[in-house]
Amino acid sequence: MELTPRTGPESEGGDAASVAPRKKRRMSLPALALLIAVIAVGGFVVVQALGSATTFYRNADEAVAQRESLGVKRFRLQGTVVPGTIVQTGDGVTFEIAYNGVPITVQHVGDPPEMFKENQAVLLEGHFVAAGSTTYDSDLMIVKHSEVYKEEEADRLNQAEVNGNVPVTTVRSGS
Amino acid sequence: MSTTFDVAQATGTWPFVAAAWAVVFGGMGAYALVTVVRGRRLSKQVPPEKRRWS
Amino acid sequence: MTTETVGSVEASASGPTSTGSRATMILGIVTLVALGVLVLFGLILSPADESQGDSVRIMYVHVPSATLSYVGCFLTAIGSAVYLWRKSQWWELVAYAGAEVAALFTAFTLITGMLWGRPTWGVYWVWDARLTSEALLMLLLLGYLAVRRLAADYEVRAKRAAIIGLLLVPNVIIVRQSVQWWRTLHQTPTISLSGAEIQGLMLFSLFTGFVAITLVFIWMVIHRFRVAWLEEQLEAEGLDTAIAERRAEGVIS
Repeated sequence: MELTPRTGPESEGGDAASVAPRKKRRMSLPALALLIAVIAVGGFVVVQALGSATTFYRNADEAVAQRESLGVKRFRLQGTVVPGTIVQTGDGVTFEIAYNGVPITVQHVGDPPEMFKENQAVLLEGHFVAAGSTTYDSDLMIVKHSEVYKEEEADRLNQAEVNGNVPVTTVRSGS
Repeated sequence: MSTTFDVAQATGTWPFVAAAWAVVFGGMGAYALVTVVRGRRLSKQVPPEKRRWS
Repeated sequence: MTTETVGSVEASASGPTSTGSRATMILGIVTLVALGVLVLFGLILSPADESQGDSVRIMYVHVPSATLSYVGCFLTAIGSAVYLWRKSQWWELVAYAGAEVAALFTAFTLITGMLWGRPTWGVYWVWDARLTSEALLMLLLLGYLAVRRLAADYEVRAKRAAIIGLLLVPNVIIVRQSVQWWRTLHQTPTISLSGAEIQGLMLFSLFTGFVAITLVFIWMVIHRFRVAWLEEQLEAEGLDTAIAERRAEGVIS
């Protein structure tokens, strides 16, 4: 049964729509196949993406423990920038990161992000310079910020009270 | 030590703040407008007894 | 055929000429005031963050957008479930309206998140579990809306969309818990049952964000529901007209 309105815009001029009634539209086999395909692909992507996301990065101590098997393979590395180790180089910056007290020397090529500073957790992409080494070549640095927020002024005042002086907030501010 | 490392540092973070708020407020405004206009257009075509809200 | 009027007080014999009513008008005004308060606190009165600076202000729209997109997804899932269970068109339209608004807020979440990521992380995007699952949520919502509009009988497309609507729940749970279950670049929630890692005016600004965006969400869902309702009335009326015409022609009895 065809039930499109005969007075509708489609039937203007010629009335072709009502002369040749269209087939009732229902869920066709190709549409069903497409839907199943989309769900299958989506499911595959979920499993793949979330599976690799479980090892999205290695902490510095884990990377050092696994350095023989990691070799010069690319992986993401996470740790906290050790204060006093940041040195500018011609094409980037070198510094140490540590996690659970285990340090790794990082040779980063490229400009670090704005929020890069001492005691900041960073995520790096790169590889150990050689199998068994604890020096890491990085070409992508991402700052991993925490869920903690503090008012800028209040924090400075608090720290000033504790330390008896106004703290230097960033490594770059003085130079 | 070089002074500018990347976009965010060169320009400050306000452009990102402004862009984010503009997207949200602009998006909400545009969607609200489109919805109201559609509602007005459809209301003209639907018999009054079928559009009683309050 | 009698039409059910839902406690109509002010609707005149002619009915409203838009999807607005006195209630939504008042809601709209309150919403605009709340948005004004959000701008005042979020952009002007609240302080910059100690480590992030002014980019923390993106949080006041990013986090409420994400939360309300989850609410929209749950609304859609509930509507879908009730539709599949009782074939209630009212609930099906609630699900549809919820999904469209949820898609809008999910898009806001993704865009503001990227604009927040660039100045804080240094990158717009990474494929960590939180961002990946959020992108999938966006795809699922777009899939719902596409299927809901795909040319087919109302019952067929409503049923197909409702099945996708149910899938939104596990997806939202994965998005929400991803930062706890897996290692992600994205930080864990600032406000949780164990307390808030934010205080003072920053916390209040986030609160005004929740209030304002929630009001916007309610306003949008109501209006979008009414638009969907009108669309279905029009379609049903088209069917009635067509049947009447066939009767007149003697095609059917």
